[in-house]
Amino acid sequence: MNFLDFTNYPQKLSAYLLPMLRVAGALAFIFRVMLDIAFVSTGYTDVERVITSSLSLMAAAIAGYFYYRYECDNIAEKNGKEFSEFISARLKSVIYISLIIILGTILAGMVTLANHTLPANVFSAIIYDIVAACIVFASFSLFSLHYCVTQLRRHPKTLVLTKIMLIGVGAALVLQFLLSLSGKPSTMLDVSATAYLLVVGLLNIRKMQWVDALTSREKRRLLGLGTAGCITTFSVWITIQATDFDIALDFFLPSLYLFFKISSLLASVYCGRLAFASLMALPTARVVDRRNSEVDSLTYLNRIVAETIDVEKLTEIVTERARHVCNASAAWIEMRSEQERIIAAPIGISHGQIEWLHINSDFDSVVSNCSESFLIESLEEHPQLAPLGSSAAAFVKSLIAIPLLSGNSRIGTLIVVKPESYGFEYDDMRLLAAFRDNVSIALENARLLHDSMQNERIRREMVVAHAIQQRLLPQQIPSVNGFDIAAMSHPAYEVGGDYYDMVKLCDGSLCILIGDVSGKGIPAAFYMAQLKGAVLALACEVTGARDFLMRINATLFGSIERQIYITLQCVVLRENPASITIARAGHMPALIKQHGGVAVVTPKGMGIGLVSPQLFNRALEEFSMPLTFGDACLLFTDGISESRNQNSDELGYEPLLNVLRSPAADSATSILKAVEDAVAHHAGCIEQHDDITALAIVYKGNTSKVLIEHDLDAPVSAKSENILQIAASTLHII
Amino acid sequence: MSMTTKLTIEHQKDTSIDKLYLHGYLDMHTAPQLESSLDNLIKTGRHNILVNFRGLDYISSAGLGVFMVFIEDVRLNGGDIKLTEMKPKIFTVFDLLGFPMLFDISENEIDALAKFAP
Repeated sequence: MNFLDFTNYPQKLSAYLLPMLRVAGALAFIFRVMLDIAFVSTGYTDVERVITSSLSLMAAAIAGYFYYRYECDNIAEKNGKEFSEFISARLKSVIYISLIIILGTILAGMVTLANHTLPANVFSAIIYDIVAACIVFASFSLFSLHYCVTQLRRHPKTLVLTKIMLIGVGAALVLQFLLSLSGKPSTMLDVSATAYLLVVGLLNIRKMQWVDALTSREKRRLLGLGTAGCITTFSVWITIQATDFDIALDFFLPSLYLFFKISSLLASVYCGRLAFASLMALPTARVVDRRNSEVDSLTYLNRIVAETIDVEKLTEIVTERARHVCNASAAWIEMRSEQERIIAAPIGISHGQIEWLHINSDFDSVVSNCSESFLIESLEEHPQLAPLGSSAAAFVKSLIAIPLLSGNSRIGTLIVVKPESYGFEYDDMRLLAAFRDNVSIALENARLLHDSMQNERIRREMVVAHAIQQRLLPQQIPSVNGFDIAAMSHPAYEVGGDYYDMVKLCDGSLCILIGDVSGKGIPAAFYMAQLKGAVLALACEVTGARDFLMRINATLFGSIERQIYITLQCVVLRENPASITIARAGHMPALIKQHGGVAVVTPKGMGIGLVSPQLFNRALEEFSMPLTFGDACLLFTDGISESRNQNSDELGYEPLLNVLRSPAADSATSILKAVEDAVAHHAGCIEQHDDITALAIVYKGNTSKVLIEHDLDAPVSAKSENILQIAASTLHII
Repeated sequence: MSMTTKLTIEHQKDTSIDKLYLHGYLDMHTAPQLESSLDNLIKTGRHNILVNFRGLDYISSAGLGVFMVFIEDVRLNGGDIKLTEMKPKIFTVFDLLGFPMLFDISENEIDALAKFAP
């Protein structure tokens, strides 16, 4: 029957064809009535009879087609649950049409001639035509509707049966139509067509499972409408047999009587079946309602889970749903963080009321800490919670508690309550428990997402912090005549407490600082920034290495936390004559190479920020030494000397001294490269866990003043490994 | 490494002196442990504290900082925090920072105990 679906035709054709069809149907009906007016007094010849019948058939078929289209459009807009509303609306129109037909039948019966012949006058002929046309439309519409409905249900068997039914009935009608034209309608055909239709029709509607899934309200409505429809259509069937209506109908269209009889009977059977199915399904209606509500809630929740990343909104939805599906008076979620109880999204109850419940310490142990879902049917009869339930102010008499789990850990409890005892059923609890897994997953997802967004934000900030801290370190090594300087710094995390800097002092000499703030990460980075500030502020008035450290300590002592301190080493490089001066505030020693020999230089000094300037200054020493071509100095932080291998052995100073001893270490860059290699070689596969910073200075001499270089060479005749003694003798003790 | 290692603190109470025996690693992660131990002692009016480093394998800058937090308060109250039995490696760390000028560091416990004011 798909060729009937004009909606698939090209838009233009459909746009012209449909109005033309309507006009054709209307004209056919008008012609028919006019012919009746012309011929009714003289009677019809056979040819005239064929013409009037054909016009009627045409008008009826077009009306039926439009009705079919109308219903198809209706169905296209409906789906799923609304099906019952669709059926209900049609049942109503069936009932109205039936009532009109019963009235029309009586009216037509009044004007029918007593001798069962054709209408005798123009007036009766017109009434015949109009009533019959209505009936044709009603009958066609019933079949159209039935076909549409089977389209909607789309069960293949139903479709096949409907087609068989329509083809059978159509064949019977055509046969009867032809027989009527020849003046010999067959009663046998009547009976057999009716029987055939009944059998196929009943087969088609034997199950009606869709009724089971309706809500109880819909079922009750269908029961009422079905019963009324069954009675009215059956009345129509009885009425048209009891009156002479058949003559009126057959006058309009031969065999129409049969068609109408069949369709009214079929409608009656269908309505009766529907009413019966609704009646049978009524006892289970509540269960179905609950299941529907459960499915709805779960579906809704699943959608929300996918959409919502906001924990607060999610918990609100959950408690709202939970209260709704159980028909409870209030619902809320309790979550526990550390020792604190968090009440989330209470609905139908205030925070104060919930706290009031928790005044009873048993409420916590019984409800909030339950390991399984449970139902308390009556608080008054509960062994522990009786005082709560029987209190005058009790607004909770029955209760369901559902633990929310994530993995194996408890994340909270969903609680729903009612103000009357025995308000819940076990089914309510099962329903909520079904709810539970989704809720748990949803909450956990939302929480994880929230956390990861938080982490992402922190990560971004750390990236920024890293960039800022890197800018605090010198971007360029200042070039100083005769000195080759290089530096490297790798924080273990994004930011760290290692620091190095190069500033010019007031006398033009270059000052190199290397330091390490105690601790790691963000706090260390903040103090490092503070240190940088002090260095920049003080540099212009500083006269030497020891002076610099004393001023820094005086500035920072008291302004940094007691357990925080900074180790700092200050190296001042001077030219003409070339010399190096080292002061150390608790920092790692400096490693010195002089005349190819190496030494560890550790002038005394306490960490910055540990003690008052008085004590600090008293403890601080300064070491000075002239430099000759090839002399070098390696400064580093504890991240290097204390870097560990898998046996937890520290690197120590010896590998670093070896770097200086090596003849390959002739430039600052090559020394740092060798230090880096030594650390990497030592650590092996162990991850770096401390900031690593190192600075190398190599004295290349002032090439333009070779003589002075020679002069410088002269006084330094110390044995290479004995520099420490030299150091001691050159200390400026203050 | 520092993430997986632990610090254990063993407390012995004499009539006037509290002795803390440190074992394991004292770093950024375990420093709060020692901090709360010392804090508890000082809060209860115990100001003569001897910290024995016999079992300590590692100390980081954050660990050193802990002693700085309390030393002033303790001394103001007429007591002291004395340190003893450090492994050479641990002592080097204290020494580099100049701690021997701030703290009484003894080689053995008997010497340290004797140095507490009678």
